[in-house]
Amino acid sequence: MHDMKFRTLRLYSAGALAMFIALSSSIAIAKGTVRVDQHDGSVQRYAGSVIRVVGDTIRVFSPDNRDTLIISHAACSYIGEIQRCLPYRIAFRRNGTDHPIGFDHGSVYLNLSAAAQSLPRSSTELPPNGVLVFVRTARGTSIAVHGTIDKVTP
Amino acid sequence: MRRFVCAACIALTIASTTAAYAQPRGGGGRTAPAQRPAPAQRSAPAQRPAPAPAPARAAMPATPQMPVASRTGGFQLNRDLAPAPQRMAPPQRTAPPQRTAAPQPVAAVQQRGRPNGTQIAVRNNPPRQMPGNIATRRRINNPSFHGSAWGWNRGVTWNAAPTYWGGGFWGALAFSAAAALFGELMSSGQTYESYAVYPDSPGATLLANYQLMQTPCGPPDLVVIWGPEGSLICAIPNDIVGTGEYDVDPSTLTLVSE
Repeated sequence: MHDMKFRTLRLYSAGALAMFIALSSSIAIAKGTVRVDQHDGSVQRYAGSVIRVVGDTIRVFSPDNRDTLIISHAACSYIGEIQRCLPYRIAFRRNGTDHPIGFDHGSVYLNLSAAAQSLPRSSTELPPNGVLVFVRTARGTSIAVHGTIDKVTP
Repeated sequence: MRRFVCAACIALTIASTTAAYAQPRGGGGRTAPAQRPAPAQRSAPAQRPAPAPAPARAAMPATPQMPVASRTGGFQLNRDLAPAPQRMAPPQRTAPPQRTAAPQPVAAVQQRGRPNGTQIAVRNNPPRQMPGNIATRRRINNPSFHGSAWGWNRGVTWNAAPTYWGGGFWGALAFSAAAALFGELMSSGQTYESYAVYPDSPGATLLANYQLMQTPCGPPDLVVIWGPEGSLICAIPNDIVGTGEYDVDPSTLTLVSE
């Protein structure tokens, strides 16, 4: 009897743990992290940024949904299942106003396939709907974004 | 017995977790020697502020970088939003004055130019005189791809990105970068610089499809390929593509002879 109870308790514990892991993973799935390396060496990290693909643009929302980084205009080509884009225009939207940001160079990797894909010549894998962005502005600010796409809208 | 096994498992798990947490911090391991009693005959070193470096090192990150501040608010990009001073103008895409107007001395036309591998600031080539006789142009169909326009790119239109050499067709070589020169071509008193093609770029796909191998521009009897945005690269001729000058049609990834 006691052994039965113990087994049931163990089962419940395992179930609760699995549910917790599943829940925490699903929360993390549609989010991204933005890292901004300033010219002066200071670094800011923003966890919980939402990444969306709207038309031909990638939009990265700040965690408080106040700002949006819009990456538009890029030369895109496929490397296997990974789409690599060389962006050349980015804008920063705050309070509904778009501010163009001087652009230097960058790369965007998108995996819109259903399976995880390795980045070219790298051991790094992009999960399904994964996105990886590296952008350097004309003023020397580096912006790195990684996460998964929350929504794709035409 | 089963209880004992369970208790042992839990104890082991806790122990291993604690060890795992202690390791990345590095503090525990490093402070341990400082707490070790110094031998009696070496009392002087013991008085040294030896323990100090360990905690100090433990508190500091592994690399001398500024701390990463986690933020929850808006993006800190104020510096990039401020009005741009004049020097922040977009990368210069026009040819420098000495390469546009000034006529090149005869000796300069004869010389081979700078040695390959010379690091130079990447810039656009000067505008090129297009070949006059369009009627004689011949398209060499891509041996590996016979699809419709942009079919090679899964139907996605490839647009030249103006901040990269060749619009990014040959790879992510930004104009802000310095790159190793991969030959240069002198034609009509103008110098046209060439750089190495990046793997996995549309240009690399083009070369692979035609089984061409890039070679530094300069020597005669090469395949000279004029890419988007005034870029050019050279390749060794083969059975599919003979010596001569070619343009690229990015929509079908084909070479068109001049």
